[in-house]
Amino acid sequence: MYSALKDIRIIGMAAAVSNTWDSVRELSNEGEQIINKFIKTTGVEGRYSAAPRQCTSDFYFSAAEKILNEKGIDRSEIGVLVFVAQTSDYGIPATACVLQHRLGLNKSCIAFDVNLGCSGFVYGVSIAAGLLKNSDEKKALVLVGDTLARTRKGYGIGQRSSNTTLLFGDASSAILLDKEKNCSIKSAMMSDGTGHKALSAPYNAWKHPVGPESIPGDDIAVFNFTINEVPALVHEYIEKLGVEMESYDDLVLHQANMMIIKNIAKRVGMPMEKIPISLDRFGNTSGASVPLTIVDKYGASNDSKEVKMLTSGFGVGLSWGVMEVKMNTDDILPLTFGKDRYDDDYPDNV
Amino acid sequence: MTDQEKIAMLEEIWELDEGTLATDTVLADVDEYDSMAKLSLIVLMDDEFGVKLTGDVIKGFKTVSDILKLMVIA
Repeated sequence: MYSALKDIRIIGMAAAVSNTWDSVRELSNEGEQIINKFIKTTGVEGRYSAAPRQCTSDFYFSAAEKILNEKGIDRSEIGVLVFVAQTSDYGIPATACVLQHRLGLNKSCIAFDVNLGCSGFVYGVSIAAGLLKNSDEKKALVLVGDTLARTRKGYGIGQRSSNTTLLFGDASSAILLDKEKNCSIKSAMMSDGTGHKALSAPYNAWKHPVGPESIPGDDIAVFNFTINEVPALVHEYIEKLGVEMESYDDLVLHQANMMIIKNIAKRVGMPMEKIPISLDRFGNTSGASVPLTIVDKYGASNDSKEVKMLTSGFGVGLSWGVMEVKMNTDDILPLTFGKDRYDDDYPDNV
Repeated sequence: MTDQEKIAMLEEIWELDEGTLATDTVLADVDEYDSMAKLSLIVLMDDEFGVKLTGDVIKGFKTVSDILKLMVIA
């Protein structure tokens, strides 16, 4: 799908992580040789992980509060709240409804969850922009992220040491959309359900109520998908827009792993100097990785300027997307270290 | 391209010492032939030979010579 929504602009971006950062070397039970190879091939040297009982929604709350407070936003103007994650707090209700309550948004604001992972930024912004465009509401808030460094049951030593959990970091992002003339949100999005088994957690839901939290993915199918489909869509997108790759200040890719990033960069013809990297310190942060990488690069900068970025997310679904993002660096806020935790009063182990 | 040149390419992407591999080397006996090595092989085959390797094709590789047979410039 190609989507072009006129008169909508991203006016704020924030990202949040926890206060807990661990190096891969400290976390792993593996020998030095294996760890060195893991770091070399994935590019991940360490990552932030959620504190006990700190959920995706808590990071979202921290990022959203940051953006609403620092931008001085009247909360009654938020008419759309889209929460994109694979690690929702509850079976039901949608976590977006809980956040609507916590953030003090109006009843006229629609709030719902979207179950997507690494493509979540492009999808979430496009969905929210579409709803905003066709409504009388003024602003939309998109929340994208996950807590994949943890398992549902917590952080047992054995659970922390697997290469899969070492690859992932916990993070969230918040993106604020506004109506503004002569701006637009243009995206290209694709899905391929034939690959639904390549990345899958089929247990503990309605079809298979009991089973392991995750099963091994099909690494080769995922790798082939990313190095073929993503560059193809990037090429198609910029051709449709009639722009050259060199016109972008940055190509912000989902931080899957270093091998995938380097191969996509090579195939789309973008030098690595224009590919910002956050996964070395944050790990693969699922849907949050694109906005987190932007926040990591520009959030602390005092240099006020317009930046033109091409972004792409890709992963579980299979699902992928490309979107151009033009922002003023003043609207990209410094990284937040969230301590928020919501006490919902539900007893555990019922 | 000779078999020796093709083997040298495999040794390079898998960071093996020169002379480690031979045409009859059994891949299961090569410690470095792990999941990441298979991804490096996918890139090499696509970039250098225009061959797209699927998981099933890779599973079918038993010896180095099985790979060499596909290392043909179209």
